[in-house]
Amino acid sequence: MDIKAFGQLTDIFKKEIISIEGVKDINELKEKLIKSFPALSQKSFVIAVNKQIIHNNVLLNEDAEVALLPPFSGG
Amino acid sequence: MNENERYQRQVSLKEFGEKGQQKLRKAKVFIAGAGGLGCPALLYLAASGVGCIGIADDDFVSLNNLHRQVLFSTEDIGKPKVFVAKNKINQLNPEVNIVGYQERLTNLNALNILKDYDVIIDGTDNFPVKYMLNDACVLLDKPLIYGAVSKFEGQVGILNVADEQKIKCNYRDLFPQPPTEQILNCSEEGVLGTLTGIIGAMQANETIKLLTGIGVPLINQLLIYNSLNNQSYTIEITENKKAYQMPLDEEEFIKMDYDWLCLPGKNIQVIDATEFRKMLLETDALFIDVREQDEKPVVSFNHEKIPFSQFENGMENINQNRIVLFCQTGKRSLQAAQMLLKDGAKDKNIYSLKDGILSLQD
Repeated sequence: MDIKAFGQLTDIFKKEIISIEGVKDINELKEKLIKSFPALSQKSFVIAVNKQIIHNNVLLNEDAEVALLPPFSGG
Repeated sequence: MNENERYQRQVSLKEFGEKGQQKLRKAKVFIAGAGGLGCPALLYLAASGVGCIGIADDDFVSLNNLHRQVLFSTEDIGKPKVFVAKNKINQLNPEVNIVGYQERLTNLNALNILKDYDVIIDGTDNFPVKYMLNDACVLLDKPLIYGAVSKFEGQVGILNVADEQKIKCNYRDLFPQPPTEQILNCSEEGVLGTLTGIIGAMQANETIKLLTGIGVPLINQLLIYNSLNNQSYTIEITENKKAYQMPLDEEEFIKMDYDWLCLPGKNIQVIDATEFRKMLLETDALFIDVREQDEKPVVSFNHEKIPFSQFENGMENINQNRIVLFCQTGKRSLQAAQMLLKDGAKDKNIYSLKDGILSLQD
């Protein structure tokens, strides 16, 4: 499934979209992401699934659209 | 000068019309910050004929502001931003009543200033003010037109306005806790003036839509715009009330220390039942029940008891570096976590169980 990153998270992924296979839910996804990109564990972000912010662990379909959104402070 | 002529090009839009113009004339809009976002928002709202615009900023114009803060000229360097803004807007549209507050907006003056306005625009550039402004808008029940930028991307959305399902989300529903890491702002990481121009103009546009009732405003939505590839991505913000503690009234709000709250390096993590169970297997984490003595259910894993009513004294004896707090519903444990941090436990990892012990039961 495709994971879309925003803001400074793209510096960690080195691109805007990365692909991760074989994760069944958000907790698994977080674990796998942090294993592949340890710097992510130091970053604040929220997760959107199919363009909706989620706060709990939810199951992920293979075609789910996942986005990682960091807070911005500039103005 | 014929008033109709000034606004003729927008009044002739049939969706907007004379009715829309009247609504703008009656509106009172407040802009927090006359910076990269505040300047374009102020220019467009004043030009469009918003009746009264309040603007607060305690800063002075400097040379490195000018590439993005398009309200100011080279000759304005060193002058108070609010003073210059007021003069420039008077020249642009003398029909607008500009109220300048040449002061820093804080939790001590915010409620008093904001209460007179219909819509609040976030043109601030740091987290302490963003959280403070959000909480003030929630307490006063005012719409907040949020905006922020980071490098080539911008975020914009409308907060604290009920959608069709009567749901009202605020900034804390999106980002419940301030970031624990250092996040750079425009002066530190740089920004193109065109991006703050685009986002500030979008905030003005959303304000006009909200005030006149046209189109589909970004209520409970966050739009992220990337100025390098012109992609935009809009997501729905959903309620997350259990993940944060808000000041509940004016008294609590005034006691808040937003600079401290947003200090990088602090660390409270709100964890769910799955993560909690995983941590039970770790040997170095200390679990603390902050419920009062007689509260049920009794738990069977290893833990200490420091009832919330005695937490202030009891926390002195905590020496571990990984501390997991829990209570019945997740509220007191989060408060206790904040007390621990405030007491100087900045180098510790502090966890609070979301939804409390009840979430472990299913």
